[in-house]
Amino acid sequence: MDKRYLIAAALCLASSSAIQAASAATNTSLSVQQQKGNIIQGVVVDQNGEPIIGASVRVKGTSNGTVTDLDGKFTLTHANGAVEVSYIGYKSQVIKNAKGNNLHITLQEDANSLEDVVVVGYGQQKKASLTSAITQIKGDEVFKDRTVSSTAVALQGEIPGLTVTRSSTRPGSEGAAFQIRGDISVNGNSSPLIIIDGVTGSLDELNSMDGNDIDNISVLKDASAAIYGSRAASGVILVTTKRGKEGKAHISYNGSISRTINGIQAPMTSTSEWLDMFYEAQYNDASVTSGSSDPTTIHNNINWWIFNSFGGPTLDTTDIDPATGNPTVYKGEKLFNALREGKVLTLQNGNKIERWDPTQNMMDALYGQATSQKHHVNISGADKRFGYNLSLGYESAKSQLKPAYDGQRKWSGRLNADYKATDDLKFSTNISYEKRDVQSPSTDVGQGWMDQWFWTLYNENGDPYDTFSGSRNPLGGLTKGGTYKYQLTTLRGNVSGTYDFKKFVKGLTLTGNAAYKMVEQNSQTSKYKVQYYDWVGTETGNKQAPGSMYQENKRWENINLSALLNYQNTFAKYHNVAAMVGVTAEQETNKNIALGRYKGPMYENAGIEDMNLFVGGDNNAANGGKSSWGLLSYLTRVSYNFDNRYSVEFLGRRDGSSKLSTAQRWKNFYSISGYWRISGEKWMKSLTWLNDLKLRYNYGKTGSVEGIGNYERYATVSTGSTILGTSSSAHTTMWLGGMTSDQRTWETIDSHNFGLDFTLLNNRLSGSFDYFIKTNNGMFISVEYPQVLGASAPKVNDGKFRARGWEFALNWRDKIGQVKYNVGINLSDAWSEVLKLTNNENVPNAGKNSNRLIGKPRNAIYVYQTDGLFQNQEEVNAYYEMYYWNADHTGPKEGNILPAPGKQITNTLRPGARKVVDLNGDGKITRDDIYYAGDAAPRLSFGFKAGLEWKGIDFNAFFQGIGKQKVLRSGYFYAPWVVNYVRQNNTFMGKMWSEENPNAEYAISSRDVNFNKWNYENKDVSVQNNKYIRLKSLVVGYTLPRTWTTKAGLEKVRFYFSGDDLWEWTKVKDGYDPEYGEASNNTFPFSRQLTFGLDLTF
Amino acid sequence: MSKQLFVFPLLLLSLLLGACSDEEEGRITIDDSAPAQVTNVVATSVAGGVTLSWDNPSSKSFMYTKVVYTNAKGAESYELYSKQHADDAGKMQTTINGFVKTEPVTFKLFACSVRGNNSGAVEVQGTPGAPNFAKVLDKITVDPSYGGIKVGYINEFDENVNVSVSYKSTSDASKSGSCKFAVSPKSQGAQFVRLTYGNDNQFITKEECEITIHTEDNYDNASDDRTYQVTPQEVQILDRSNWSVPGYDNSSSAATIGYDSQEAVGEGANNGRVTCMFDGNTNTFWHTKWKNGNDQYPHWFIVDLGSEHTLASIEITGRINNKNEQTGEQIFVCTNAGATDPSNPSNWDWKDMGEYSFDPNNDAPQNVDLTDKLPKARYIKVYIGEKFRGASDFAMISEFNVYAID
Repeated sequence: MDKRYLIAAALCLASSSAIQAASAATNTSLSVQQQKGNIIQGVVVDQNGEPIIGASVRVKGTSNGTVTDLDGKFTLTHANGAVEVSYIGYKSQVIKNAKGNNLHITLQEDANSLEDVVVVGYGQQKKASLTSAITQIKGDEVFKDRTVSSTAVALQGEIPGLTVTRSSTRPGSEGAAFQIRGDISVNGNSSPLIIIDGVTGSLDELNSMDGNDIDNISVLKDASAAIYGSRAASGVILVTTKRGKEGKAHISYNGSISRTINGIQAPMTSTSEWLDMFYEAQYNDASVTSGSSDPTTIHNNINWWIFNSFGGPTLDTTDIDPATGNPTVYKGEKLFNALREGKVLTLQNGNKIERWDPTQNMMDALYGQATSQKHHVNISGADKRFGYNLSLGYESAKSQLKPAYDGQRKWSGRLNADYKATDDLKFSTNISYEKRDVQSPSTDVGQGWMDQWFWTLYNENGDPYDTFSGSRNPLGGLTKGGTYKYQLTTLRGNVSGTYDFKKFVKGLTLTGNAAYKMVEQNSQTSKYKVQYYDWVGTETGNKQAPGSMYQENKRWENINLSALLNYQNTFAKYHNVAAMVGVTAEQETNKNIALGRYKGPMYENAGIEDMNLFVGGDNNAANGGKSSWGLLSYLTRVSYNFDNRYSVEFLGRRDGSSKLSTAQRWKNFYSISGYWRISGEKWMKSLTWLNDLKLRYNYGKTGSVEGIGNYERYATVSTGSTILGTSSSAHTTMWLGGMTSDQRTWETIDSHNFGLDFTLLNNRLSGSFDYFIKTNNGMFISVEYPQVLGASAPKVNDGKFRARGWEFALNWRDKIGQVKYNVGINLSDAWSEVLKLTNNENVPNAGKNSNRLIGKPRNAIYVYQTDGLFQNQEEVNAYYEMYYWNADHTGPKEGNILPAPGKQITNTLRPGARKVVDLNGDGKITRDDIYYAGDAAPRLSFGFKAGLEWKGIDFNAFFQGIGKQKVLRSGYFYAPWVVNYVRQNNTFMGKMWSEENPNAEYAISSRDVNFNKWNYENKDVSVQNNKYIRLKSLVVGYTLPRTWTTKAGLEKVRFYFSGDDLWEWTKVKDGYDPEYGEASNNTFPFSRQLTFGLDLTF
Repeated sequence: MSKQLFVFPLLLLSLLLGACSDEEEGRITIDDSAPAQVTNVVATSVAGGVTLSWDNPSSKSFMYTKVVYTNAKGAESYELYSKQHADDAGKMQTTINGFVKTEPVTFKLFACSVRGNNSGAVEVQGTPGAPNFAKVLDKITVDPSYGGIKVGYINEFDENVNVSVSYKSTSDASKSGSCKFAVSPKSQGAQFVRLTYGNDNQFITKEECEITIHTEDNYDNASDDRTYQVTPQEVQILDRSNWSVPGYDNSSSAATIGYDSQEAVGEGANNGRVTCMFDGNTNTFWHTKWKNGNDQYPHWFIVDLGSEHTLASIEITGRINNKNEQTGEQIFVCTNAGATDPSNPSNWDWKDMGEYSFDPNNDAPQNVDLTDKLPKARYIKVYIGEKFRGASDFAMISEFNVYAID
């Protein structure tokens, strides 16, 4: 059943039961002490008794008013009649016949989020007046109390429609990616545009920011992004940093220390598990190849593989073989059995001394626990003229990797300042500096999956041991192989001035803004020769000799200038008009330098990593590059609404880009949207339980940067030498690197969004639902031209792609007695479909079909249907009779993919093998017998939040997950022995067929790779259902009572414990973490974090 | 009230996780209903077997018929017949052979679904006729030949018959051995059998032997034995140390005047070359070139026996544990006098000795019988034309021997 109907039904359910709750409105408390006279004095406080600074106290209907001071106090003269007390975010109160000089007014927080101000492109709007699918979250809700080192990863599950994926929990190497509402093209990754305080940013830059500096993040999901024009196709993420708030200065510190522990480990065998799996497989294979059913005969036919080619006489002089009188020779079965018994052996094999040690555990040697910490200091405040927010942050986070440092450190400093020069003129500036250093070993991270390590890890001298291939022990690479260092430095500066023309025209302002950004990314990879030794220190082998140093510096500079003219006014009480016109100019230049020396270090173990200390040679690398682009844009937004009931908004942007040919240079992007507030209609007023109900629609066109190069319109010319002429000789020739086209332009997305926002039950329940369709009508695709063309042709705007989906969010906030609590859920789905690829006649292949099938998503998984396992030879014979043999019984049918029938060979169908279904009923098993198993993209992503507060105790839990995703695992571990010389996936242990276990889930164990591929490769049993739910964050905090803390001169003291990724449930049954992705050749476990933190405010 | 609402998102979440329908398409439900039984079952007798015919049911789930019966050895056995072997009218016919006695046999026919589900058996009795293989024995003849015997046979029947030959020297029982060969339906001829024993190309010649012969069907049913006394005529196996290959180049894979190809790189230092056929080691072999590109058929080579002999037979052993070799060869011979220009063997006076088939699945030495021709020859040319291409581009021979009467 389609989930959309489910949700619609659920909505009906909610609204019918909600009617009864209508009367449950909370009473506003108010205590007024009266006194005679027309001067009133008092104090305004919030529910917690804290003074509210800057609250407005005014005689209703007059201009006679004042605001509260830093202590929340006020004095109002001529207070005749009703006095209204109001403050943003709180419910206004009207006090009739206010009298006295000791008024104590408690304002109740207004839970109605409709009054929230939402950051939209080049402006702000009240949430109530939004016409588009824009979701904003407060920075404090997401980043506070979270220890996760990546700012991007912290956003996972927070915003419906924004899918955040990661492939690792290693700090600085998370592999995080954003996607808003699914894919929009077969080109690129459909990553959204990130704007940080009005300037183009990137995921890397966002990750460098301290989450505590972020005031809010706003996500433009539909064509409201069109105000960002040619870069907006995948949506826009607007990050806004915190500014000083009018009132008393606050100095706050928050710090935390956390412990990282292992979460889900890669499901790889321990030595004893591997030996058991090996024996089972080899015994089964020996049973087939020997043709015997006698256990002893079968056992004697077992191939002992590596145990035959290794081993030798023991060096333990007490271990004498009674049969020979000489030291026992451990080889073959004898060696195998000794290991299975857990014996540690030192053996002479030729001139190498082998050390066999089945008690060692590679995973324990590689991964342990780590400690991370975070500190953040903030000073902020503002008076009537000057506001400031200064913050400094430091963070150090490490992964669980034991043998070497693997982690990141972050430093950040920021000053956001506001200055009101006059009543009409206002300036604000932002300056920030962020530095992020990631360091990890350059070699062997995530390794340790290749060999089952029955050997010692280090030899008797403490050096990395390896007699096997001479170069595979990952402890060698991790400890001696060199480092990878990555530094990202971001400097941002921005100044803006706003002049309010209120003296001339009410509601007209002009804002000029200039911003500069410099990002420098330096990476350095050093690699050293890693020497391996046998047990006594004889050199066995080495890798990556002689060593190398590679360094890459990249620098981006971005200048962004803009001027915006804003007008906003209300006519005749009901007609609200807002208009904005603006112009922006942006230029970004990029410069790269890369250097490399590949002849090894000058001095072994010098400990200093510098290019000068590496040997230069004829293979040095020295590369550079430089590029630049500019964008000139005109913007406008015009909106009109009547009585907040009917609204229409138009926004447009005209982008001119240096990247395109003059013919295609200018292009318009726009959106038209509107809403109808149904709850504003008179006939809806009787529904008292309904606070707000708004229907929205948005249509527009946005552009995609994907597939357009910086120097798109220029063809490069290369020179060389060609032999030509009647008397053939070499001549200098030149040729074009590729053809260019002046027909090429941005991929343009047509987008429709239908939305519904509602708040019910005295603003306690709020929610929204959106449905969208995005169509990419000019997707870049390659077109085949005749060979005579002579050069590679550019891709053309001739493909078509569509994404559809929906989002749903529901939040409930209420208070029962002293307990404040809230529950929220959001879920969303997006599915993509390739609609047109010119001349495409592709048929599905078994496995993952990427960007090649019309009518299917970008990554469509096709597999064979299977029907259990053969239980006996007769079933096998019947299967061969039905599907294998041709009419004359002389050979296989045409297109047959079954392994040939045979005796005493392992790669043949036999009891315990898997049956593949003849899906198309043509009487044979061919590569056409596959079906569509689903979409490899993450679908139905959701977040679930619950929080409560009671007497200073706060509790928050946040779950995140994916409801639908199919994964066909790649690599070596998706099934047992599909690569038969590596460690194995231990989740298959004990679940494989045998005559004693005929109802087993998996096929009979075998070390025949081809036989195992028959049983598992691209079969339905290997498709992992990747749905999961994970406890992303759990926070329990306690704020000390104010009465205690004020005595110590502190405003607030809070302790908290928090945990990240503490628990998960998943349908994945091959043992991998659901966020791992497809890959399996990796031992790095996901982590969990336990944190203790402290918040102090002075 | 508010508590109920609290439950609502949880409910929604559990719905989402639990009842999530997946968008797969194209999976089928397997129809494993029991098909109707087969009909019109008729059993008729044939020699050594029973021919059964029946009508397949028209049930959609019907996939194959299983016929269960008790075989000549008293064991229950079965045969399976896919529905695809039926004629257009859905009629099936098959003959079940391997019976010796002419007593009635009960056949149970099950019409099965893809997983073997069925509605029970239809039983029919059939009486096999007397088998034919014993009758073939009556027409077997045994004659002496050069270094062996010739077993003459006439098979007038429609099935394969296997002839089993065992032999021993009358004077020395340690010289003994056995072999078996198949005689095709409707055929007659004479099979040369070399009376080998031991491991070193030893064979009985010029002494009286006792030959015991019986015939078998394809189901291991055997006739009575018959014995014959024969004295094979003398031949000798030629000493290969005097042999050579014209134009031989140990270090190159390229064609010369004496052969079209060899693999002088990819098989190692002492393997792959033409001369590896003459080293008495079945682990080394002549292999046509594969490294850096396969040489294509036809393949051929010439052996210089060093002096002229009267040839009785040639014995060729394929590459051991390999089934991708040639499937036959054509033999030419040339006398000392016929070899005119030593540098150009293609101009010599080659006599065509005919084409012989070669079984790539058989690792034993395979005989080329020249006893009818007894050609005089110093040179032998083995020519493996395109028609004898096996499962690969390669000709591969591990051993090559020649038997001569002088």
